[in-house]
Amino acid sequence: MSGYILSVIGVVLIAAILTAILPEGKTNGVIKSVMKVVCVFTIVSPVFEYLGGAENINSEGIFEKSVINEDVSFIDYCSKISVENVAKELEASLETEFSVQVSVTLEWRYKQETTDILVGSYENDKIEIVKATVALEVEPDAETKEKIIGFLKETGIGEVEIV
Amino acid sequence: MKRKIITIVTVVLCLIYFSFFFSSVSTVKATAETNEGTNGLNESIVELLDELDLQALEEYVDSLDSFSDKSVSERLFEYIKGDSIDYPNFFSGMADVLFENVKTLLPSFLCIAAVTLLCGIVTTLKVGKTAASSESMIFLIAYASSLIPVLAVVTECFTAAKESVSAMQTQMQIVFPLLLTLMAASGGTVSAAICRPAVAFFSTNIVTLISSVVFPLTLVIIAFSVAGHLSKELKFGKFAAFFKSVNKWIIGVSVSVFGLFFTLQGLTAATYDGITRRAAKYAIGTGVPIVGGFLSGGFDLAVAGSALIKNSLGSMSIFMMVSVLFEPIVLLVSVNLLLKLTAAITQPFGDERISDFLGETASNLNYCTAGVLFSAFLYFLCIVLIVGTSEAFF
Repeated sequence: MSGYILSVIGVVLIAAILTAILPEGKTNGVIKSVMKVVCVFTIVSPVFEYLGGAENINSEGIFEKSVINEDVSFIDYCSKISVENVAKELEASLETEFSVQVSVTLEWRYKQETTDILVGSYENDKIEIVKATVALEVEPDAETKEKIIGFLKETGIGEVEIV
Repeated sequence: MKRKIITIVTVVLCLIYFSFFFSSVSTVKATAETNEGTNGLNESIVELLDELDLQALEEYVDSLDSFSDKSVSERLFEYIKGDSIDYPNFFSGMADVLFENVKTLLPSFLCIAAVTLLCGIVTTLKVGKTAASSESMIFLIAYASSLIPVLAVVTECFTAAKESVSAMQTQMQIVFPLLLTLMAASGGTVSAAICRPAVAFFSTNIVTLISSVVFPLTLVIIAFSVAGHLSKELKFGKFAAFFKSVNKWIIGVSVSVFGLFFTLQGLTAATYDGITRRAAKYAIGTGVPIVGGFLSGGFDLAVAGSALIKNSLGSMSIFMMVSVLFEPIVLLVSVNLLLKLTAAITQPFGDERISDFLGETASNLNYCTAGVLFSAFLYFLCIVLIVGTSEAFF
């Protein structure tokens, strides 16, 4: 593109200067006609290249694909903090519901989901809590254990282990 | 009638976008009700700022004079706290740049006007048999004398415009990854997935289109104008009109298609993220703190902190954009006005071709201005959409 632009500007300006400074004479008309033809051919040269089968019109990288990379470590950090908050809320819920002192540890991963919005499908990662490990200060009875496991599974956690 | 409708629609769209911006700026203030909550939030924000990789942004900001007095983290924290911006100093600085530009450019244009007027007077006083040939010689000299300062000024304008677009592109490539990171961290995973390819396309392809096609075609149009006025035999008016049309279509189609499409997608995604989050909060009523893979409806400091940092980074990005945009725009506007003024002064007394050339050059430079403003508008739109989406999450 830059080569084309420079050639057009150069040819046009040279033609203008020549036609302005040429002395009057018989060849004046011929020279001016030739300059006009040269100018026109230079300007429309990309059309001939395209018709002639030019493969790459992307000389300036206009259609280059680029990718934006997010700071994955920061997202992981925020996800970790959010999961820790959830663990604390679970501990509070369990203490309220079952009157037990607990410590909850959550294992999590990213689950890729596809969302259809208007004309496109987009993949995005959601946090999925895979396993909850509940450490109890005092060993509860079997019924309470079952209720705790049932309570946690209702929240969508895949696997629950009581230690 | 058509122009009026287009103008009204443009103004309404700008008002809507500005309302998004100002409403999101108001959310940079912490919303925790108690001092303890505010302190907890502030601590969380400081930790998040330490964790976020701001090195590339820090290096870029150090290269800008107006932003190098504080670190990026300090500046972002100030915006979150809601420290007021010094508007009087900001606007007085802008006015200083405007008048300084006019003062610097004025001698060149006075020189053009003086040469043109002088040649006009000499042509008027011509007598004798050599009047016709001397007239063309006088015109050549006047035209060449006017052309040199005009081309110098036009070159300066193009250089400033290209540097401004290049600076905005550099900013985009630094700021957008950070904004998308913060958007994903604050719960807008679908929004981030949608914005990612769109902002990548804009920051690479559309900006390259402006600097590699629109600006060079504007140079060609100006070259046609120079040649056309220098020699009556060379007629490139229709070619110039063709390239002007190409420029208009590139700018018009890019801003309308990209702008509308991205706005629609972005707003829809934000609503989707927000509804999903509210659905999770609603489930708390049944005693279930977590629904599926989504987190509880309790106040998540990491999410809130990320959203606040994202908003303040958006504000900072807009200020940085204005800092690289203002001087070139002022230069382009000054040159445009001075060219038209010089054309008006030289028209009554000088050669008509010179005043026409000056007037046409002023109009042709508008494509350069349009390219810069178009890049800035889309950059601003992207930031506003990315910042504004956090409203839908809470």
